[in-house]
Amino acid sequence: MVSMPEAKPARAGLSPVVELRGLHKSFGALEVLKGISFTAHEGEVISLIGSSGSGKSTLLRCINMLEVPDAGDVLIDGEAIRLRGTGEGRHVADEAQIRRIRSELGMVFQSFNLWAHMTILENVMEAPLVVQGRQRAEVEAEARAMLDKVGIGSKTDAYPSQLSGGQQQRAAIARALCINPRVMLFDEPTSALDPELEVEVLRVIKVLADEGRSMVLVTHDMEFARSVSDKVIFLHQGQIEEEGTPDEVFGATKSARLKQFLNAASHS
Amino acid sequence: MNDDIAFWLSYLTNGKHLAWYASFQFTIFAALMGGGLAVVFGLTGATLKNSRFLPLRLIGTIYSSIVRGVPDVLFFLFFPLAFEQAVEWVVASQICTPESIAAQTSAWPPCKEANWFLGTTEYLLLASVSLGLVYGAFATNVIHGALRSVPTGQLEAARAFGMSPGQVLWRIQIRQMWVYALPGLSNVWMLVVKATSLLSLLQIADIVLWADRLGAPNFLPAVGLVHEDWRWRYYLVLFVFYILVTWLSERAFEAITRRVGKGILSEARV
Amino acid sequence: MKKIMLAAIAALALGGSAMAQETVRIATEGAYAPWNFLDESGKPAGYEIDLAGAICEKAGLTCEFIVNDWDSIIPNLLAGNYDAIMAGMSITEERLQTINFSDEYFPPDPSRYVALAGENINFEPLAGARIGVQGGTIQAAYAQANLATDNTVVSFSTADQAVADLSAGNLDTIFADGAYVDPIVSASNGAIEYTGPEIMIGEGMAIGLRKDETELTTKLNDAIVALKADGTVDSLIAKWFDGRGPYYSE
Repeated sequence: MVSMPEAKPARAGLSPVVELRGLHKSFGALEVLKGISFTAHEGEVISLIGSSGSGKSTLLRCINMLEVPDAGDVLIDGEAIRLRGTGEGRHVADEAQIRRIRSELGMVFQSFNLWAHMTILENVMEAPLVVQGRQRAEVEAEARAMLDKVGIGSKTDAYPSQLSGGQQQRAAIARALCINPRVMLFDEPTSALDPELEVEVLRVIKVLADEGRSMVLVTHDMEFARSVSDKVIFLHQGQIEEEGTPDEVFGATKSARLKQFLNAASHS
Repeated sequence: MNDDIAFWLSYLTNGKHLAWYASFQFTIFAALMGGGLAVVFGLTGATLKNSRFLPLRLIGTIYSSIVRGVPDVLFFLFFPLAFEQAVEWVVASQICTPESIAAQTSAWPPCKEANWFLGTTEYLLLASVSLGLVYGAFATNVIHGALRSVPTGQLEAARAFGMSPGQVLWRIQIRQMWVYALPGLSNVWMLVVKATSLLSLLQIADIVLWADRLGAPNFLPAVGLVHEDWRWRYYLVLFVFYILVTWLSERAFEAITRRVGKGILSEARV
Repeated sequence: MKKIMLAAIAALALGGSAMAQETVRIATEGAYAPWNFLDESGKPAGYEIDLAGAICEKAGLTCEFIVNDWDSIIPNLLAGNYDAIMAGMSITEERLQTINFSDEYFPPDPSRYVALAGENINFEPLAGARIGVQGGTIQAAYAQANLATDNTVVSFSTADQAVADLSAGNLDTIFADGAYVDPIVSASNGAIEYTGPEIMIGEGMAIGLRKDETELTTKLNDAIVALKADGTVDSLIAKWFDGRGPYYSE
């Protein structure tokens, strides 16, 4: 279906798509993010790596405000998401704004989260129809094309529960693609999958990366992060411990903690 | 033998019996309308209970916990009467004149013009609303639990794609909730069906009242067929009717469950 | 509500003449043969229905019967659900406090005890017995006042339920209007028989009306007086009560 090129072409654009400035987030007494900033540019693929509990998933979920940071700002295409209040009471100030911004961010979850009562095709068409208010015929053609692209074009009328995990995750990717997102957000997209199903999902993500889509990816798969990313960010206890190109991070590791982490990851 | 059959055929089709058969419509109407309203009130109550705003949440909680504790018979008697008097009170405040109030001799309503006459139709509607309110409190709990059974990840996904809270509730949560709610709602429905036997309390000539009248012993040929206490025979017919309704309801709920459970209940791979 | 307003407007427009066409709604129990019962067709029939026909014709009124349970028959009259009651209701002091009565149309009649044949009930004094009555009747009031301390008084919502319970052996005796139990005793072929003393309570049966309906009361009374004088009432009593009477005509 797709070839997996060994080396990735250089392709960092110019304009920032996602910009995080000084994000802090606590759950009760536990401080999960301790002031994190980074910028993802147009066409860039950024991988967030780190041990479990390092805050990488929380950080991703702050981008579309599934978690609201206690302090700090999130900018999408240069537009700051308006928040109100302080600390744990901080919340989204402008419902219409956040809905508009969310409809431009395609999120893929670890546990797929396909809507169980809809067929695969309906899942993919739902947001374009209901949130974006687009024409049904146009959306359906696009949805079918997306499902073909991820290799499950024959499963359009099946329900999620009738598919394998890998098929479900590919459907979830098609769902995220069909809203024509500015950025794709992947939250450990292969963690819930058996190794043999992981490959088919990774292959699809790789194709998207090669197409030049902007992506932020949380992953535990170091080899994949290395092959797909423009930039790798290593989080440790809520802070950025090390960041750089895959070659810098994996080839010339500076931090002792990252070395330890990479060692453990390669032996698992 | 043939004479016997002819006699029973004509006896069982006399006006009195036809009135009994016709009265089944009241029971069926009250059950369907009461059941439908119970679902509407249940959805409303459950949504209130899930609300982010404390006052709304309190209303939902108070409704479901208080009304569930009130015996249905009591509510059945209380609600129509209270509603009637409330309407009469409002009407009275609009149309009663000092003269008409002075002319009124009984204690209620304030003036005769404000009197609201309740016939079978009005009582039937009020009875249905009563059933809906009482069993809506049970449905509130069932639906509230069912709403919570919908996997949160799917709700989160809906939010992540930009759906409004209303869209998440209506397009994802409520659509999937039925499969978890139906077992409980089928119980609530059976309670509603059983409670329709209370209609005669509201002066509605329903199946129970007619069974009483038809089965009552008769000693006078002038009144009709002389017979002893036959009420048990008529009650037996009502038993059979309610068992039939139960059986039909179970079939119907199975069919509905299959329908709303598509994708959620079937685990087969294709 | 709209209907009531329309009726009021119509009454104003047509003036006094509207009264003649007005429908008088009469409530009856439909379970107290031979005064009132539901015939085979399910419609009210009996002495009171025949009599009401004659009274309304005489008074130039259009009448219609409404079937209403005995125990709510006075409250619903007061609530205005209908205009009159003809349901074997005796005139009593207690009832006169809330409603009015027309002239009587059935004479005072002794109340009677009945029991299953062969039950030797000691009435000197009556003690330890289960006595069935219809709730809200003059017999129920009498039993509560005079018999309840030494006996169990069981109240039924209709009279025929009391009879059914007596036949089933759940009661020792029933205390009821004599003219109600008469046909039951004779139809039972000796299975149910009179027992104990006859007791005079009540002041005859009459039409129950709201106290403010003086005009209607007068109209009905005029008709009753005329029908008593011309023998109609007596002939209807004789027809429905096994040749009783005459009470009111020469």
